[in-house]
Amino acid sequence: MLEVVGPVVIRARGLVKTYKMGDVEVRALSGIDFDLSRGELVILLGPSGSGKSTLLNVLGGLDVPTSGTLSYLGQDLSHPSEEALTRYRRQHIGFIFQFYNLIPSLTARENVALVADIAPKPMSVDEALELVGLSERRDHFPSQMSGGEQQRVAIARAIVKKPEILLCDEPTGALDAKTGRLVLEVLDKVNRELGTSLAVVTHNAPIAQMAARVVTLADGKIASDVRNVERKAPSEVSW
Amino acid sequence: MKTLEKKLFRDLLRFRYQCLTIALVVGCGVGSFVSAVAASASMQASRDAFYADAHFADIFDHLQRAPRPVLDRLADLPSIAAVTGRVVDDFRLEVDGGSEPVVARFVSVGWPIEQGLNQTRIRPGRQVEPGSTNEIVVSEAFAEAWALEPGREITAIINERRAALRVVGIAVAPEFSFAAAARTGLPDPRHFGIVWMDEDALAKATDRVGTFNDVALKLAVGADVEETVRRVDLLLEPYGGLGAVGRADQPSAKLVDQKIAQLGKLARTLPVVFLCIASFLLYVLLSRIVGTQREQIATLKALGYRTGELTRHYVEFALVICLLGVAFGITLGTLGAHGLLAAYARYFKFPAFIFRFNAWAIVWATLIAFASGTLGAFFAVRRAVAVPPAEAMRPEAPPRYHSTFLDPLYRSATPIVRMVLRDVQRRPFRLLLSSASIALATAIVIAGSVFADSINEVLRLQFEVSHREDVTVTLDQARPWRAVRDIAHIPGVINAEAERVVPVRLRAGQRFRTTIIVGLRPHMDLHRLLDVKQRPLVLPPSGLSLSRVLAESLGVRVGDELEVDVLESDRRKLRARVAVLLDDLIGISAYMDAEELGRLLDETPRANVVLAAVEEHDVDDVMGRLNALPAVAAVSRPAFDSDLVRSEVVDELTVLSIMLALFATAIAVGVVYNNARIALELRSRDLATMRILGFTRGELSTVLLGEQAIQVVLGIAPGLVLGKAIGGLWLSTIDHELLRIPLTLSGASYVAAVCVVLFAAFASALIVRRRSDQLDLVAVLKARD
Repeated sequence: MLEVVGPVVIRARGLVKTYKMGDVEVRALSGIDFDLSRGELVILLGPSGSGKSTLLNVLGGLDVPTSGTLSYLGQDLSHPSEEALTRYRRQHIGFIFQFYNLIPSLTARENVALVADIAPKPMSVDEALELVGLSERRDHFPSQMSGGEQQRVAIARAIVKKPEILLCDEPTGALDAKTGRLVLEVLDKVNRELGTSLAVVTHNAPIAQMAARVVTLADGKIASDVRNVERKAPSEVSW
Repeated sequence: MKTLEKKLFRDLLRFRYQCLTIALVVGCGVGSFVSAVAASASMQASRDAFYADAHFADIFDHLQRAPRPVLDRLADLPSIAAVTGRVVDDFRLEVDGGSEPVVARFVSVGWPIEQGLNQTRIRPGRQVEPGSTNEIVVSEAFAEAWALEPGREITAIINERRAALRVVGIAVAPEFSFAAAARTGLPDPRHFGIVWMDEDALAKATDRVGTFNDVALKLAVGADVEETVRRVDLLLEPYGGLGAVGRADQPSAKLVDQKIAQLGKLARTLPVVFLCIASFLLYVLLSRIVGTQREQIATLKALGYRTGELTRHYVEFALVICLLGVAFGITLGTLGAHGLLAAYARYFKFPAFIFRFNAWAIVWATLIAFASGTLGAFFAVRRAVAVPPAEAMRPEAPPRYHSTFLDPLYRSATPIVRMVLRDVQRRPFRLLLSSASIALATAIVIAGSVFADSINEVLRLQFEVSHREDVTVTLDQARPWRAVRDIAHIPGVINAEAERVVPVRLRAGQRFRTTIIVGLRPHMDLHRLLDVKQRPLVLPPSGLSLSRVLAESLGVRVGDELEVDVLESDRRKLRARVAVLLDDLIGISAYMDAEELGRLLDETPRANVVLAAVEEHDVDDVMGRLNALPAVAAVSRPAFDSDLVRSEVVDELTVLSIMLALFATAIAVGVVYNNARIALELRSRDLATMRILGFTRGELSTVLLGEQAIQVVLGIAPGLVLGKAIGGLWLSTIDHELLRIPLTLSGASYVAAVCVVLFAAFASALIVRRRSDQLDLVAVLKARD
C-alpha cells in the first residue's frame, strides 16, 4: 500500500534541547534534522530517554529548542514569541498524551468542546465524538470511562479543531493490546479520512508496522529513518 | 469560553467549604464597610433632613439677660437671616412623687411657632397652646425613661415655687438630638430632660418678661461663621453673653457629627484587615489548586489556550468567591447598618431615621473586594501558567529541603517534630502571612475589649476613685459654710465637704473658652483630682490649675496670665496666673484653691456644691431630707450616674464585642481550615505512607496540624499588642476635650481574646483531622501524582 506524500509541513534542522532537572543538566536532543510532510504517518521509536517525546514537544510548540531551526509551512518557529507559539498550537496542532490529560471536572463532550470553543473552524463536537465512536458516552466524566474510552475522547478533542498535524505521545502506552488497537484504528482513520499528518511516539516496535515511515531515535539523535514498503492495518498489528 | 466556565463551576463545587470560609472573610470585610458607610450616609441624611425641617440654627449663644429689642439689632447684622430669642433655664422636677433627682431644661416656645428656629417635632400629643400656663411638651428620651404620656401631671420647682404642669406632647428637637446631662456629659434621660413651655408663661414664672437669655441665629447664604460669631459676641457682651458658638460646636450637633466621623473611620480601617486576609487566603487556596492542576494547565496550554486566558480562568475563580462574599457582605452590611441605626436611635433622637443605602458603597465594596481577590489570585497563578507546557507536564521535582543552621536543634526532636519544623522553615513567607492573619483576628477582639475596658476604667476612676461621695448636692446659689455644716448634721451623713463652682469665660488674647473654676479645699477626701496615671494631684496654693487640653486650646503655658470673666453675680473681670497644667481625665476644667477663689470674688468662704458621704442604709432618707431643703437645687447619686452610663454604654459595646468576636472567628476559621485542608491534600500521600509504616492517627495529626498550631501560637502574641494599638486608635476618635481615656485592658479580656481565636482554630483543625482520619490509604497511594 503506497502512500501519497504531500509538501513538507514541519521542517527541523539541527535541533538541540538541554534542560535542567534539579541540579542536573540533561541533553535531550543533540542535533536532529526532521521533516514531516502533509498526510504522512510517522512513527518515532526509541527507548526511554532517547529524546522522542522531547522532539514531539518541540515539534508541537510545547517546548522551544535550545538551538537549531524549526519552521511550519515555511514560517520560522525557532525563536517564537509566546503568542506565536500559542497560535500555532491553537490552530494547527492536535495533541494526544499517554495519560489522556482530560480535564477531570468536564464530561467527554465538554472536554472536546473545550477545544472547539477556541479553534477558528472546528468540526462539530458531536461529529468528532462520532468519529471516535463515543457518541453514546459523551455525557460521562473521565472517571466514569475506561482508559481506551478516555484516549478516544482525547483523540476527538485533538481532531475537533481539524488540525494540520496530530502529535501522539505513547497513545497506547497505558492501554492493553485490544484497546490499544482500537485507538490505533481511530488514529489511522483520522490520517486517511481527514488527511491529517501524524507523528506517533512509541517504544512499542510492532506499532511501526502501521506507519509509512519509521524514525528511530537513540541518545537524542536519529539512528535510522526508513520507509515501510507496506503499511499494515492496525487490526493486523499485534504486540 | 463556555466550557472553561463549566470547569470553573465544578472546581468551585469541589472546593466549596474552602471557598465558603474565604467568602465569609470577604463578606465580613464588605459587610463592615457597607454597614459603616450605609449607617454614616443614613445618619447624615436623617440629620440633614431633620435640621432643615426643624430650621436648626447655625449659631447659638446663652446670655444673662437682654431686652427683646436686642433681637432686632441681631437681626440687622448683615450675615443674619433669622433670629429666635428664648428663655432657657434649668429647674428641678418631681416625677412619680420626686423619689429621684431630676433636672429639666425649660425652653420657651415663641409664636408664631413656624417662624422660629430650632423647632420641635411633636411625636405623640400636640404642641402647647399659645398662652397656656401649665402645658408642657417633654423630650422623647425623657418621656421614655419615665414612661410619660400626654395627660400626665408633673411638678416643677421654679424659683422655689411649686408649679403643677401637664404633659400635652412628646417631642424631638435638633439641638437636643443628643441631650447630655451637664454633670456627666453623657445622656442621662432618667435624670435630665427637656421641657418646652409657652414663652409668656415661662417668662412670667422666671421673672424674665420682655427679656431673653438664649438666642439662636440662622446665617444668610454665604455668611462667614467665625466673623458672625465675633459680631454676635460683641453685641451680646454687655448682656452677659457666654460666647457664641457655631453649629459645629453645639454640643448635640457636635456629637452627631462625631458619630458620623467615627463611622467613616471604621469604614476605612476594619474592611482593610479583612480584605488583606481574604487576599492572602485566596493566594494560598489558588496556589494549591494551581499546584494540583499543573498538568491540566499544561494540557490546556498544549490545546492552544493562552497564558492570559488561563490566568483569567483562575482569577475568575477568585472573583466568584469574592462575588459570593460581596453578596453575603451586602446582606450583612444592610443588617449591620440597621442594627447600628437602631443602637444610635437610642442616643440620637431624630424624628425619623432615613435609611440610605449608598449604591456607590456597593460599587466600591465590590471593586475593593475584587481587587483584593485578583491580587491574591494573580500572584498564585502567575508563575504556574507561565511555565512551558512540556515542562509543566513533567512531574514536579520533589520539594527542596536543605540542611540549615537549625538542624542541630532538631537533632533531639522526634522525626515527626522534625518534619513539622522543616516544613515551617521551608515556607517562611506563608508562615508569616498565616501568623499575621491570626494576629489580626486576635487584634480585632482585643481592640473591642480595649474600648470596653477603657470606658469601664474611666467610669471606675471617675465614680469610685475621684468622686467618692455618695450624694452630690447642688445648692441654688453660693451659700456660706453654714449650709455645709447643716448638711453634715443630717442623720446618716458621715462627712460633708464643699466646693465653690464658678462659671467663667477664660480668655487669652483672641481665644476664649467657657468653663468652670472649681474651688477646692486642700486635703479633700470626697473629691480627689487624678492625673492620667491615676496619681492624686495636689493643687498649688495660688494660681489656676488647668486641664492640659484647655491650656492647649487657649494657647497658654505655665506662668501665663489669663483674663477670667466671671459669669455670675456681679460678673467681675479678674486676672489669674496659670500655675499648673493637669493631665486629668474628664472635661476641660480649671481648679483653684477655694480660699484664693473666695478672695478674688470678694466673698467670705462660700460653697454651691456639697459632697456627702452617707451611711449606705440611710441614703434614701438623707436624699429625702435634702430634697426638702429650700436651698437645694438638685441632689444626685454618682452611683446612679455610674450605673446608668454603664448600662447605656455596655449595650452598644456588647454588640460591638460580639460582632468583632464573630469576625475574628471567621478569620481564624478561614486561615486554619484552609491551610489545614491544603496541608492535607499536599500531604495525603505522605500521611498514607506513614500510616502504612505504622504511625498512629495522633502522630499523623501532629504532622498535619503542627504547622497550624505553630502559626496560631506565633500570631496570638503580636495580635495582643496590635489589638491594643488599634483599640487606642479607636479611643482616639472620642472627643479629647470630653474624655481622656487611659488605655486599659483587663486580664479577662486577654484570656477571652486568646480563647476565641484558639477555639475557632481548634474547631477548624478538628474538622480537618476527621478528614485525615478517613483517608483511603490504598486509593491515595494508587493515585498518580
